[in-house]
Amino acid sequence: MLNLAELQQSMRESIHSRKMKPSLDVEIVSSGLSVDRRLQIYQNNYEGTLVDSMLGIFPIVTAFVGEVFTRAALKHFIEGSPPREACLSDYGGAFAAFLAAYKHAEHVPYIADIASLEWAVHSLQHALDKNASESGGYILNENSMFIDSPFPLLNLWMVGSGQLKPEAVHVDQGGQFVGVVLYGGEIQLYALSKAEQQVLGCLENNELSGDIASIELLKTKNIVI
Amino acid sequence: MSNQHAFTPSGSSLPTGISLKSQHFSEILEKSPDIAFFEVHAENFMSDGGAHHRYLEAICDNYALSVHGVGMSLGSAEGICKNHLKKFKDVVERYSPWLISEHLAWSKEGGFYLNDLLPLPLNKESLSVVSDNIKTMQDCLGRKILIENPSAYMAFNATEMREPEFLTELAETTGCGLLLDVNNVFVSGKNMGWAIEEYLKDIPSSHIGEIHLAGHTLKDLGQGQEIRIDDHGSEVSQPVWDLFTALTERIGVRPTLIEWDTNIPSLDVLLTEAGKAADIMEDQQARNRIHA
Repeated sequence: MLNLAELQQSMRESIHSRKMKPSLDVEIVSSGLSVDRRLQIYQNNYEGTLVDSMLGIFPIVTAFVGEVFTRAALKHFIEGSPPREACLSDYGGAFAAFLAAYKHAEHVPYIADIASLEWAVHSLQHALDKNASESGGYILNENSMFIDSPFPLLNLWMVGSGQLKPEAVHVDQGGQFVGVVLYGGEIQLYALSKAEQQVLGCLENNELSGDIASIELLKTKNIVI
Repeated sequence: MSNQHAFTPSGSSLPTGISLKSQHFSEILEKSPDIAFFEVHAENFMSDGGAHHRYLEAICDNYALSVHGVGMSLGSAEGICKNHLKKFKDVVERYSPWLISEHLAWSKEGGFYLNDLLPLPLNKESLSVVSDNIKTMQDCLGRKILIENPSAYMAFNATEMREPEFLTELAETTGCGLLLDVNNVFVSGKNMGWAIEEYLKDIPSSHIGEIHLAGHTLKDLGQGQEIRIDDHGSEVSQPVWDLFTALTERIGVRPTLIEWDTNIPSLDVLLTEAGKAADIMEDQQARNRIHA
């Protein structure tokens, strides 16, 4: 008979692998419903609640590829990167990288960048809004995230969220550098120009450089405060 | 053990509450429904910021709060995660809840978190593990917590104690209270073949600090087999209302929550369910007055 630590290890491995370990099988009371079906309930709960939780984080990905595809991708992702913390709002940051390498997503090459954008929005929705007022100088807003995409990412995001018609966007129309910013309790998304991107590159090295108009534009967007 | 809290239910209203869902934040602030308390999952408020914190702070200005943990893994042989406990404490310090609760279950092993309430063999070894973990949690929070009976779909050959006996031992060893989930007793009883009424009678009244009521799903597995899944996605079933009525007759009024986590309906549906619980408690109080 296993001690408690051994039993928990055996059950955790059985749930992760979706295969009953023989060491666990003999520990479970066998009456009525088979032990396999009893374990399957816990496996389904584990996987089902994680998938449902992550579907809530990636609605635009789902809008592009459909719920069936997203659920299948999430199941594969969970299998390879099971959660390590109980706070599930922190889980899923690696989904974009997973999609970038997911062979079933090869026909939607922009989907990983959409997942990155959704994760940025989700992360900032849970971040402490540290910038309630302007700094008086030119500092990069701590609550800002950027995605440099070879696709028209913000336009695609607007299609997925129903703000643009699909025919208004073509994936080959060129890339976008998208900034996501939390300021005053609100999340804003911007497609930034090359000049703005250069200013941001300098600010990350604690240098203020670039054309004045771009710096001021970033300030109006609360990316520079 | 301190029981300090910022806001407790007051007035003549009975202590009924509902799960607080983000879909209902604005409506609650707008309509101020007649309900004593709301319950949130601690894990949903462990982030530093977010609109959900602003809503909860506003709601807590007018209502009592119950913080219900689902990820502490009090049954883990490896002990509870100090980082998670710190985050839980931050939630408690931020909101000073009226009630705090967790589960008789485990979910953490070997550095992995399984987001489910997994079952334990109920014996001396697990009693010692869970008792130590409850003491750690209570010492850290400086508060008495309530431990909830989970829904069970399997049992272990290593079990030596019935669940009511195990929970009672926990309460007496650690000073914790019990959160008796009547739906979970019904689901586990049906799934595992327990004597449900006997289970409820065997939990000492003095330990029960809160009651949960929720809906569940009956699944037909074919060949005469069925299983009940505790999914918190529907109205409380009639057999569970009957058990709640009998329990209230025995122990009197306790803070009672309508728990709803999937297929979230309108706020009115949750309030109607809470109203049913209040009616049952009110009937019981009226009978007590007549007898007195």
